Amino acid sequence: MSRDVSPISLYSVSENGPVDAELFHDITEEELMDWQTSWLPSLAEGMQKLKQKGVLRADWPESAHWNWRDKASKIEGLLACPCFCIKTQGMTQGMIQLNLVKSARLPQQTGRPLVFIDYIENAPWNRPKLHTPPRFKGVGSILVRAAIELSIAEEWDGRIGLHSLPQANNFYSSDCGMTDLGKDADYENLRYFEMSPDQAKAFVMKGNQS
Amino acid sequence: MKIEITREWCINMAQMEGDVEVGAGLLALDPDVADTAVEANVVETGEDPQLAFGPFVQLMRRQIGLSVEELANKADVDMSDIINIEKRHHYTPEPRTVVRLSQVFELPSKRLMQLSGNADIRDRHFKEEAVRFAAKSGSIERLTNSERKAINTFVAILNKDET
Amino acid sequence: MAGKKTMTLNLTGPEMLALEELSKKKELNKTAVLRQALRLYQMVEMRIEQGDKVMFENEVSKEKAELMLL
Repeated sequence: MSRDVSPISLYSVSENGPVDAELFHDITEEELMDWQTSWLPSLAEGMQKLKQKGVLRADWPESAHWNWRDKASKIEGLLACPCFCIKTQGMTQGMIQLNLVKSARLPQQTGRPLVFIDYIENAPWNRPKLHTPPRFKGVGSILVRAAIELSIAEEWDGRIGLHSLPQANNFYSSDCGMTDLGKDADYENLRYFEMSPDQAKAFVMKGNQS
Repeated sequence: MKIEITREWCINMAQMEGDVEVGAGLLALDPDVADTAVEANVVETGEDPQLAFGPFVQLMRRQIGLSVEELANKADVDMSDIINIEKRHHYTPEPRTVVRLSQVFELPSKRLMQLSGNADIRDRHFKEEAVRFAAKSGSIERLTNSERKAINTFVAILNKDET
Repeated sequence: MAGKKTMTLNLTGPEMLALEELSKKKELNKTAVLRQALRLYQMVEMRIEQGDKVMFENEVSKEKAELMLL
């Protein structure tokens, strides 16, 4: 069965330049096997090294215990929960699970539908905490862009929202230019970030400026 | 849906990203047990086909609508045996227990012997299917559609002749 | 991805009015409103099948009421 796919590029740190990659508009058994057979052992190895170095637990990767198989089985077949993944060189580099039945909270956007990011994760070898230097860069930005493009396709003007893991707060506030609406007591006190239509335009424009 | 993201955009954004974490989503884990949870993920989703036996017995039991006690009575085995099979990752039950379960589930006892660790698996395809099944089985109370699909597919494989 | 299919919908006056009001309120066309309704219905149905309950909670009074689905 053919899959919806968009050609993209990732930045290879070792080659100091772009490599061809693909943005698939779903997550399949292939990617879950990559998670199981490659991500998990790499995560476990990375955590061991952090432990040996005496790194504080607060600085350990916060999503290391996530089980993407569980996540995938819970949303299987649901129209409201599309997913994307990025692959290059035959390996999954990042995954994102979205939710299409949530509403915006920003004033002036309140009640309007948005694309909510339920989960987003980078492959362990791309994470600076676990791998120095990281292998590929750009995974996070491209997955956020995919969420924005889906929002635009739905005629929701690029509105997106998410609850950031604490270590990623800066990425969403500074790199993505999203509004921090503060800690959400209904979501384990994670900070809730939202992107308005104007912020979505600015995010896309940012990458188009050379 | 068509998404067009230029190479220039990807590389510009990547270079601006810096050394960042990008994770978002519910945490729901005490950081003090993060490393054991990762190890548990590795073990639970590992490549040992015996890991399929516990989830398989549990799903079959739920599929036919029996409690642990009811299954134990029907198979004429100790309840503690069923509990150990379902809960302990590398528990190898007595051959008699496996034979009794295969009779209750109406499946070839030879395959269940292999799955339970009482006999070697020589069929590579069966071994791969067992690992795949183990990876797909969850631990929620009711059978989801995907659990139902997984177990029906695996039952068909168990009923196939060994190649 | 599969191509789109067209369907004719027969709605009563009040149903059409409700659809138009939602469409105006959410700034979505009528197809988009119905698409959201379908996504929501499917998701709620799945959670109920899994044994969850769908509740409304009043933010002020904290009073809860269960949403019944057939």
